[in-house]
This record gives sequence, structure tokens and C-alpha cells, in this order.
Amino acid sequence: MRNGMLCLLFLALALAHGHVRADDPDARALAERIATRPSSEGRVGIMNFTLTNKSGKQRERVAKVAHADLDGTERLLIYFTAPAAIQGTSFVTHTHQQSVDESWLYLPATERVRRIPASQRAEYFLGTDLSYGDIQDNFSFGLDDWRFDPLEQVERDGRRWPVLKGHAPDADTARELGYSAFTAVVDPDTLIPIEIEYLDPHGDPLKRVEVLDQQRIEGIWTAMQFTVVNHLKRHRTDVYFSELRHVPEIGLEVFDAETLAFGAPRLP
Amino acid sequence: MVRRTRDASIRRAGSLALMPLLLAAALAEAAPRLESQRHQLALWSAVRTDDGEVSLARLSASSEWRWRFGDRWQAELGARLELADDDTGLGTVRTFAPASRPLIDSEHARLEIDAATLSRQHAGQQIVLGKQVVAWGVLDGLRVTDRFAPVRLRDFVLTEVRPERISRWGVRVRQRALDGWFDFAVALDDTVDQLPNPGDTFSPLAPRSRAGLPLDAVAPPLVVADRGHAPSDATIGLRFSRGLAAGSFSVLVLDGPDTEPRFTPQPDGTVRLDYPRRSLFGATFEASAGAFVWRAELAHIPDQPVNRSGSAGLLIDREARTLAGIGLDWRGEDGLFVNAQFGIDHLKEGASDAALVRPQTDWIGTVRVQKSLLQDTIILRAEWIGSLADGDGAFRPSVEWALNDTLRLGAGIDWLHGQPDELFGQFRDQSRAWLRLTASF
Repeated sequence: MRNGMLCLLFLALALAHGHVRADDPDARALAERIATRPSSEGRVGIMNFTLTNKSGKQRERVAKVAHADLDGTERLLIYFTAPAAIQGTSFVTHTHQQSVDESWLYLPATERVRRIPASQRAEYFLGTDLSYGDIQDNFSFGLDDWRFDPLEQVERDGRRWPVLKGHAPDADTARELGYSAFTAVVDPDTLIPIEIEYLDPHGDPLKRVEVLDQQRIEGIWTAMQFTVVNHLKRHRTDVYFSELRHVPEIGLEVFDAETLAFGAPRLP
Repeated sequence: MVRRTRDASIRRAGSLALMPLLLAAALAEAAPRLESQRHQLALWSAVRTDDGEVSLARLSASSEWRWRFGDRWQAELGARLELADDDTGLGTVRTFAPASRPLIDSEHARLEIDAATLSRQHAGQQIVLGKQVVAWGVLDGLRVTDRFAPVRLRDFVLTEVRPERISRWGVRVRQRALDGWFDFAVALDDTVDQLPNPGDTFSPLAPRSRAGLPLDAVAPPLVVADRGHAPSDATIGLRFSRGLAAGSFSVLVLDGPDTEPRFTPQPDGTVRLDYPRRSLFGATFEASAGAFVWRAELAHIPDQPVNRSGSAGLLIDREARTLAGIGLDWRGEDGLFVNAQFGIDHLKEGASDAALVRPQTDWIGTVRVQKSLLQDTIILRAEWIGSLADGDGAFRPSVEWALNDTLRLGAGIDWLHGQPDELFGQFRDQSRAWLRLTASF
């Protein structure tokens, strides 16, 4: 009896400190629907970045992008075409359902493709405010990475939109993700989180992601334009896609890491 | 001093004969479309820290263009003009095959073709013909299996990117099979490592780099064995690579002229730099684990040409050579990157009484720490590369600032330390502070 009381007391203390916070089943169900929302078998397009620093100075980046979701692996290629200083720089990532994700970076000056660590998710992607993890997750939240809090709702355009909240289960995961928690307003029709607020591993506001335009590309809802504001660095990245099109027959060699060293990808 | 080779223009024409035919084939498939172009101007200058003298002043202008012919064919052309007014020099071209020699070559100016390729890619197969670089291996700057392409040694190892590989005329075919890639390459052109000219800043001084010649001894005239013996001096290589769990591995074999010179005394008192053929068998492995990426390479050369020094003078010999290296990348928070590598280069002692002119075993280490700030606008770097056995090396702190999307400004120090008879220490009087301005457009 005394032991049971002690256990309850310990559990109450732990809950009070947030160390053991149960996953909310409804929230997890929504996160699963977001993670498994219909994805394109293959698509290609142009990704345009505008980076704005705290003094208002802007830098532009343009990249070819290809994406395919086949055979339990999501593959993404980003090949920079401008500015000239980074032309030819390429990034490929393979997100596997059953094994550890893999990523490679090709810097033309080195003539070599470099494998980059799987846990590099928190690092900023080539000077943008997006992390490598943001690029990989594609507006979803890793089901193994987060514990989900009870759902809330918010009134939008006369409708109630779900608000998904999550927190990293421990400090190590928070460091790896670069985030300790998030709050996301999810479009109930498209299942795309249109506003996401992230807290850094110390619990301070880090950045806000806002989707400004969603479009249906061959039946697949896609975030065509979004902006990322980094509160700590007072830096901002605006991204929009152009010429995005559905290419179901895209060859997997486009996403082959070693092929990165052989010039611009030959996208269909 | 410079031995005349056969008519370079005839050889150059021969090497290029195939290209127009293939270009015609590509044109038959589709009209060319300029896909990308890039131009770069780089001004690099340095002063010696010992005496404040300018030891480097070099202006490079490079351009590259890529054309697409339909979905399968692609052509690339890259050229580089270099102007120099310094003792560092533009390096020797006597080690280049005639077909690869600069189109313009004078004491202070040089125009070289960096790339001239026509490639076809279709259904898991890729063919590249023309002047190209084949970069194998996984370590950074430590050449264990990365010995297909020759490199430039005119700046020793103090370049922005190491190694600076030299492109050669040849054919490369990659074929997907057995869940991996077979990569077959032939370099018809027998260009070998580019050396500094005698008297240049990084002209070797140590006995180990001069076939055992004592430190203060005057070097005899050097001649370079004729280049341009294609196809008998072609380099041929085959590599197979494939993924393995959270990593990848490759095995490779290559055969061709050694890219490092062997010194052969001549009856007329000169010393000839020879590049005999040798074979290399190698393997690489690369894997990521958490915040780390591990790399390893192993190579064995059963018939490495070597020099020995004995009572009969300078001798030539062959011995087994084994090279191995491991390295790791670690990425910390906020743009911190650390790379550390360790390499061993071991020559078998052999039965000869004469001593090897270089140490039997070299132990080389490299450590690089890099930190990017302000969204990659500023990059701080510090690197040490050196010999772990002798303790000599080069410490290279630097900073690079992207002024905008076009201009980058870099500054740094190359501090060389050690004894004059050591690999790095031989250049200890050439420590320098440098500045580099790069414009890309």
C-alpha cells in the first residue's frame, strides 16, 4: 500500500514536470493522417528562395526540385541553378519507412558527393531558415519524433480548424530536431499545416512557418508558397514553387547520390 | 632541359577526332539548348610572413557552359585563363600529355581546357567522352584510392580545395547492375601530377622529395619522360559501388602510369622523371551513425616504383605499397563542422641493402573545424594537416565572407612548421598571409 502511494506520488510529480506526457490519441491520429496524406509518385519543378536578413538585405536562390514517393521511400532532389556561386550544389535525401534516412550533398568545387549525418536535421539548409529536417518532413511531423498533446481548435472562415501540438519526448530528440515543441494550425481539407510555430530546444520561440498558397497538382495538395521567419536570427526565407508538374514515370536514377557529380539532373 | 615531344597538334587532333562525330549524333537527336553557364574571376595574393615579400599574385578567369540535346545528351565546356606574377608559378606543363597542354602557355599566362565532354544518360547507363576528371575515394585530400586523376602540386597542399585534380581525355561508362554502379574509366591521355617549376616557392627541398639529394645540394637538370604515349600509357580503372545498410562501399582496381615521379639518373648527368605503370587495388567504406559520418579507405599497390639510395648511387626499384585512411565528419549545433582524418602510407622494406629515399611509413593527420555564421554569410575555418611521426605540418586559419551573391572575400594564414628535411617543414620559410577575392556570375 505504501509502495503504491509512493508510485502514484512519483507519477504525479513527473507529470507535473512534464517528463511523462501521454500521447493524445486524437492528436496522433491527425498527425498520422498528415504524414500519410496523398503524396505524389513523382513531380518536378523549380524552387525559388528569397532570403532576407535583419537589415533587409535580400539574396535569391533558384533550384530544380524533384520528388518521388515510391516503394516505401520518399526521395527528394534539390539542385541549385542560381546564383552562380552555388550553381551545381545539390542535395538528395532518401526518407525510408523501414530504415535510417540517408542524405548527400554535392559541392561542385570538391568534385565529390558527401554523405551527411542522418541526425543533421536541425542544421540550416544552405543558408535558408529551413532545416534539413523541414525539407525532409515536407509539412508533416515525424510520428516517432513527437509526443502529441490534446487537440485544440481555432475558428477560421466560419469553420473550426484543428490545432495540433507536439513536444519532443526528451532533450536529445529536441536537439536533434532543433525544436522542443510546435503548434500547428491544420487545414482540414488539405491536411497541410498552414501555420506552424516552433520552439527551440530551450523552449524559446524559434520560428514561424506560414503557407500562403496551396494548389492541387494532379490531385495532390501541395504547398506552393510559404514563408519561414526565424525569430532568433531575425531572418526570413520566402519560398515559392514554379513550373511544378506531375511526372509519375520519373526515373529513380535522378535521385541517385553518385549521379549528382555528373551535372544537372536530366529531369523529364 | 625540356625534351621535345612529338607533334602536339597531331596528337591533339587525334584525341579530338571522335568528339565531332558524337556531337553530330547528339545534334541529330535534338537541337542544342544552353542549359547553364557560369563565370568566375578569382584574385589570390599572399605575402610571406618572414620578410613581407609578395609570394603569390594570381588572377584566374574560368568559364563553363552546359548544353542539352534532348533528354539524353549533354555537352560541357570549361576553360580557365590564369595570369601570374609571382614565384609560386603556374607549375610545369612538361608533365602534361600533349593533348592536355594549355592552349596558351607563357611564363605569366596560361589558358587550359578544364572540361570538354559529351555525355549520354539513359536507363541506368551513363557514358561520358572527352576531357574530364574522375574523382574516386571518400576521404578529403588524403589520396588513398583517389589515384586515378593526377593533381596539381604547384601550391603544395595549400589550395582552397584539396586536391586540385587535372582533367584528362578519356571515356567513362557507368552502368547500373547488381543494385549498384559499375564505373569504368579510361584516360587515354598520360598526364601526371603537375609539379612546381625549379626555383618556385613550393619547389621541393627535402631529400625525401628529391630522390635523396642532400638539403643544400644543387639539383642536377631534370627532364621529364616523354608524355603522349597513348594508348599504351592509358590509365584504366574499374570501380563497383553500392549501398550497404546506412552506408556504402566500393571496390576498385586501376592500372596506369604512376602519377608521382620516380627519379632515373641519365648517362648525361641529368635526372629523368619517369612514371612507370603500376596497379592499385582498393576499397572504400562510408556510413553515417548519429551525428557522425565515418569513412575508410584501403589501397594496395603491389608494384610501386620507388627510388633507393645506396653506395652505387640512386637506384630504381619496385616494392609493395599499402595506403590506408579513416576519417569522420561531425556536425554540431549552429553550423559547427569538424572533420578529422588519419592516413598511413607504408612501403615494404624489401630485400635491397640500399635505403628508400622516403620514410618507409608516413603517418598523416588532418583536422578541420568550420563554423558558419549569419546563414552561411561568414565561414570561419581552421585546418591542420601534418605528419604525425615528425610533427611538422601546416596550420591554416581562414575566414570567408560572402559580400553578396556575386562577391566572396577570403583571408587566411598558412603557417608551415617543422624541420627543413621534413615533408611540410621543407616549406617552413614559405608561411604566408593571403587574401582571395572571388566574383561568380
